[in-house]
Amino acid sequence: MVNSIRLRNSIILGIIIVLCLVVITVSFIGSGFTENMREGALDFFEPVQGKVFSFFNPIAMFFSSIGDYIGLRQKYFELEEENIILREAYAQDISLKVENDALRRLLELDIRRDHDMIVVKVIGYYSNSWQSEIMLSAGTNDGVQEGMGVVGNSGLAGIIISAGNNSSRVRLISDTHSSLGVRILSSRKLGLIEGSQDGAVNLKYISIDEEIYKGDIIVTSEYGQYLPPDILIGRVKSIADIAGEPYREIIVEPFEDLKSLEYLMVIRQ
Amino acid sequence: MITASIIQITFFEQLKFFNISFDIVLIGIVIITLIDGPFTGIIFGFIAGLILDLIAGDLVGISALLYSLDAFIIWRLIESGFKYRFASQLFLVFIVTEVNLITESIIRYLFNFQISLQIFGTELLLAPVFNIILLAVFYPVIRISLSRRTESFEFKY
Repeated sequence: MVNSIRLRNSIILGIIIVLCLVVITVSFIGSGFTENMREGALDFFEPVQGKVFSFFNPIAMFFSSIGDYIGLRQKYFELEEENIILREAYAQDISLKVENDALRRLLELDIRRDHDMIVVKVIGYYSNSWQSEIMLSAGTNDGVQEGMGVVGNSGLAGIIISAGNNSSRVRLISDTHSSLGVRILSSRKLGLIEGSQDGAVNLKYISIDEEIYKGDIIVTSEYGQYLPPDILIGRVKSIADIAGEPYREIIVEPFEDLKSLEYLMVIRQ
Repeated sequence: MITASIIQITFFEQLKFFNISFDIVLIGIVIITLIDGPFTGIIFGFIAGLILDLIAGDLVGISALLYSLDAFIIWRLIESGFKYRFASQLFLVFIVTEVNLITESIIRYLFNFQISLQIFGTELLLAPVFNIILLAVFYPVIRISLSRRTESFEFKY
């Protein structure tokens, strides 16, 4: 009796292992079947997920904010220092803006139109060393499509990778598979930002000969299919030159806090 | 199982320390396998993992495979005598968490994913601690369920 139960369980596990390996392979290749299944599952669980997320979000925020208190003093001094620099820059920018507006009026140039955006609610997180994704409460019924950019109040958060009827999945810019064409705002040099397993966002392909400084602003480039140019991404946090390497190792600090996202905007343009 | 998967996505994935989160689905599988046996554990693991993969995973089927395998390992350890004592259950959680991490890394390596040994090492050290804490929170549930199970077994026979 015991042996037959053992055999039954082993057979079931064997079948499941084979089935899962087939499904993993099909999913890895990227078949339409698994994508349809995912979109269906997203839509099916979206109403419940949205409500459960709303319930748990304040609790999660409370616990995750405990860690923030540890570095609060250090952060305060950093912000104070940054504030002085920004105040000086602001004074310069105001005069430039006046000059720019006057020139635009003279040349009769239109200021760039605002993007067509839709506000969406985050209904789930999923991040480990292999992926960093979130789920949103808007899908194709709201005009959301694969490849569209998702931004928060401060900057770019990620890209839509799959859209169901009423929900969608977003690959955050810190995801290991994330790779986006960007520009350094000051020098207009092109580069790529990529996520990594430790959640850091790296700026790649900036040669050691190119000038780049800590604090430089990174924006989206004009070479994306869906993503409009000049959307804020983050600022350069650290720069390191590795001996023998042609490119610098640059870490970017995203403007958007990717750990506490609640409401975001999808750029439908 | 659906509840565990949804709570994992909506709550525990936000509670991250050193980029590691608690795994309530894994604890659910440990509890179910302890209480209801391997068959329920394997099926629970498969369905919960599949739901998690379909909603949020990058490789569909990987969590389903890992959680089913976890239930099987728990059952084999239970058969070796790891069941009723708290320390035994902590050991069960420790083992399955480590097996999960190692198996996932091997599968992903075979599918051409990059592996950072530093992050993998941190996960091997910290992830079991997180899951053991979660198990300690749910320990009264296991204790009560296991004692009820034993009582009903004695009454029946």
